[in-house]
Formats: sequence, structure tokens, C-alpha cells
Amino acid sequence: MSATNKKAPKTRLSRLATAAVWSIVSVALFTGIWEFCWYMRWANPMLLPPPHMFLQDLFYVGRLFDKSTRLGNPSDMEVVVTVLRTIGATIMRVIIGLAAALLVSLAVGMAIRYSPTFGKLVMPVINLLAPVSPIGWLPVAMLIFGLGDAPAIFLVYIALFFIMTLATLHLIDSLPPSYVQAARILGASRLQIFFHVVLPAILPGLFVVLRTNMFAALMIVLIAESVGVGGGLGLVVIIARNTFDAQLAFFTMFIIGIVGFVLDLVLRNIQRRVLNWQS
Amino acid sequence: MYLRSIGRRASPVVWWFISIGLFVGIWELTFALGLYSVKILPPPHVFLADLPNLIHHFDFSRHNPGEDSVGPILAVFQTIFATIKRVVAGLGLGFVLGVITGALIRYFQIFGRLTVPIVTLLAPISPFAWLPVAVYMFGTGDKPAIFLVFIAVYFIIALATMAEIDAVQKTYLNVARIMGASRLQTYVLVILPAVLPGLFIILRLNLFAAWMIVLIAESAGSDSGLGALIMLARNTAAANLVMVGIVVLGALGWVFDIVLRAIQNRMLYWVPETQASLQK
Repeated sequence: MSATNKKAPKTRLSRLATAAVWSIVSVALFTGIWEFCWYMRWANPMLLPPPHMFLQDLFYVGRLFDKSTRLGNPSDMEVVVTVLRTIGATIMRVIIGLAAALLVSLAVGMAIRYSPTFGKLVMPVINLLAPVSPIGWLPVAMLIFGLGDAPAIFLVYIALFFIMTLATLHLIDSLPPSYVQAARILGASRLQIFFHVVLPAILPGLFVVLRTNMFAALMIVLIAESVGVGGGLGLVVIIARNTFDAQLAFFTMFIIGIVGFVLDLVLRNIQRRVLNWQS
Repeated sequence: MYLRSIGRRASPVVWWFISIGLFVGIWELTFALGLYSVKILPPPHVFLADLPNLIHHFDFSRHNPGEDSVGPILAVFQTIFATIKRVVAGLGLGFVLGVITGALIRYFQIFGRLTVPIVTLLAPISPFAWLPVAVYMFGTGDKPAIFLVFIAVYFIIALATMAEIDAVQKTYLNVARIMGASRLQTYVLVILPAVLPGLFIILRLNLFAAWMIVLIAESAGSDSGLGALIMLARNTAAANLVMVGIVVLGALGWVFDIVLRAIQNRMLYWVPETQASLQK
């Protein structure tokens, strides 16, 4: 019997407050141990700077985010804009890549099931290319698209397209037959069944696949940026490694964590709001 | 009648050849029409013909004067094995520690309350952002790569373990309690077998993220393995080597998925086949 079960049922607010208190205790303990290790000189601040060190000089690390502010004397405002622009570039690449992968894989997956001949022609190639790690595509992306946004978006697209096409097929195959039978009895044509029955039925499941692969998409964008497609948080990570700037490395980790968290939260909300016809 | 059944059995193979043939054909045709340079997207006949030369790039001892060369064929296997070793070590470590962490969080309430906020705080940090930390802490070689694969898997598995434990059917727990099982017995004998199949599927889904991060770790903090090879190909703009790298990666990813699927079917024998097999 745990201790909480004995108490009277709590209100939503007090439950929230308890959770908040425990979060603060937990994070404080974590930070405390880290700071203590630094204080006792067990952790080298050049390698593992404690939070108060990498969060104290935000404008210094913010300057390093882009080459336009790295030299000279940029104003605080310019530094903030630079940091936000870097974050924005990364997020935009992730979102465009995710959207493209969702649309194309949905179209290709439905076409494979709609036209068996198309499926027979395309499936072997998809099965052949699916297990190639997106990293393998990285040099190809840069050789074809050069620098800029295009190679990063292409890599997100490649990373998700095969997974999501296979997921679309799986979802179509596992539809309850009664849906299709009911539509057919009501006199729906094949095209109507695909657009009005299959599509709405598989969309929520497909969105879950998209959401679980968002972190992989973020990772491939960071990787693409790190080899120099132009700007972005990935480039900052690799600058931190190459210049051995632990302060910058931890600050970037901090920001990437927030970006990942917010993206996940947004996708979760979209899923709940837009795809509300299937719990 | 007899002919038709032969035709039906042979048709997947025929369609496979038609499909792949069409893909390669379009590739070769667009190349023959001169739509792109051989230096950017070499067609299969070019990079496969160059294989005997490319094989020498797998031999990293050429870059380190002190080392003895082991010969190109052995070097290919050494390179592939170095990468596989790191992926397997990282995945194994991440999976086991993740399950243990998740189970401890649910078993000891205080431990859970202290740990869950940190786990949820660190989970959304992309493994790639850990790269500098891995290099600072572990230097170069195997360790940073294994650490990054571990990070890519550990938090996901820990969070998934908690979710799976919460989703265990109440009947199982009630039956165990009625039959007089202690709390520890319930966790080890009822909950663990109930959550493992779901966790294994999550591990397989994250396999490709693990493959991605190990290649990056190798390209940034090590001078062996496939990641180092692919970065070598990129840095020298060796398109033929890039294509060979893609072929090797594809074959490895395919073999890995088959192996994990076989392990899943063997070890998790208590799950019915239909449930154990992930989308094909």
C-alpha cells in the first residue's frame, strides 16, 4: 500500500502542485549534485561546466551562433535575433521535411494499395531502399542539392518517407473490413472508399508514426547542419566540439532540448485537436 | 491450371526483377542521356566496376603510418564489425539500463518522483547534441560512439517502460495478488514478461536512430567504422565510395532488422505471432 492511497482524494490543482514540487525537488537535486561535483573539483569545468556557468553568460555564447555576430561588438538585440534565427532555421527544416514526407508517403502508400500493378512495380524498390541509414544519403543530398535548406529537408524526407509508406500500407491492411464493406454496400466507388473511408481511418495512426519519428527527424537535420549545409543548431554543436567550448555545448544542448520538447508538444496538440475523430 | 500456379508462385520474383530493373534502368538511362555528371550520381555499373579500387579505402591503417595493413578484404570486415560492435553494445546497455530504470521508478515511489522529472527533462535533447559531451568525457575511439547510442535508446526505453507498466492489464495483477505473489514476484514474473514484447518493438523502431548516431559519432570522434568511411567519401567528394557506402549500409540495416525480428520471435515466444510481428 503506498502512502498516497490512504489520503483523501485530491483536487486537480493540488495534484498539479504536488507534481510541480516534486519536479523542482528532483531537478534541484540533479543540479545540486552537479554543482557539488564542480565545487569539490571532481568535475573539470572545462569539460563539464555546471549550470550556473553555462547559463551565466548567455550573450557571450549567443554570439557564437552565427558568423555575422561572432566578430566585432554586436548589440544584445542582434545576438538575440541571431539565436532565434538559428533556432528558426532548424525548426523550419524539420517541419517542411515532416510535412513533405507525410504527404508523399500517404499518396504513395494509398496508390500502392489502389493500383496493384503500381504496388508490384514500386514495393521492391521501397523495400530495397528502406534499410539504408539516412546518413548514407547525406553525401548524396549534398552532391545533388548543394548547400542551404534543400539537402537538410531532403534528408528529413528520406528518413521518414520509407517508414511512413510502410506504415501507411500496414494501416490500410489492418483496417476493419466492416468499414469497407459498409461503404461498398452503400454504393461507394473505389475512389470514394479510398478518400472517404480509408484516408480518415488511417490518418490518426499515421500521425502517431510521424510524431514518434519527429526526434529522428530533428537529429538528421542537426547532423545535416553539422556538416555545413548552412547555419542551424547542428552547426553550433559541431563548432562547440571543434573549439572545445563546453559552455557553448551545454547551452546548445539546453536549447535543443527545449526545441525537441516544444515540437513534441505541438504535434501532440495537433493530433488531439485536428484528428479528433479517433481516440 | 498447373501452369497458372507456377506463374503465381513465380510472379513475386518476376515483379521484383521488373521493379528493380526499372529503377536501375531509369537511373542508367538518365545518366546515358547526360542529365547529370558521373561525379555526382554514378550509376550502378560505374561504382560497381570501381569496387576493386574502392575496397582499399576501408583500410584505415593507410592513414596511420605506425599501423600494419591487414589487407583490403579483412579491412572491410573490420570496418563493418567496428560499427556493429558499437551499435550492439550501445543498444544492449541502453535497453537493459532503460528497463531497469523504468522498473525502479515504478517500484520505488520516492525514486520515481525524484527521477521522472530529470528523465523527462533530458529525453527531448537530441542525441546529436550530446556529441561534444561524449567527446569531452570519453575522448575518441569506441566509448563516445557507444555512449551516444546508449543515450539515443536509454531515455526512450525508460519512458516506454513506465508507460508499458502502467498499461499492464489489471487482471494480470489481480490474479497475481490473489495467488499470493509478493510485490517483487509480481514485478519479475508478471510485469516484466508482459512489458518486454512492447519494449522490443520500440527498440526495433529506434534501431535506425541508433544506426544514424553511431555513424555520426564515428565520423566525429573515431577513425574507424563505416561512419568514418562515409565522411571520408563526403570530404573527398568520392561519389563512387558514397554509393558503395549506401549499399553496405542498406545491407547491414536489412540484416539487423531480420536478426532483431528473429530474436523477438524466439525470445518472446509467449506472444502470439500476429502481435509480435511489426508492420512488414
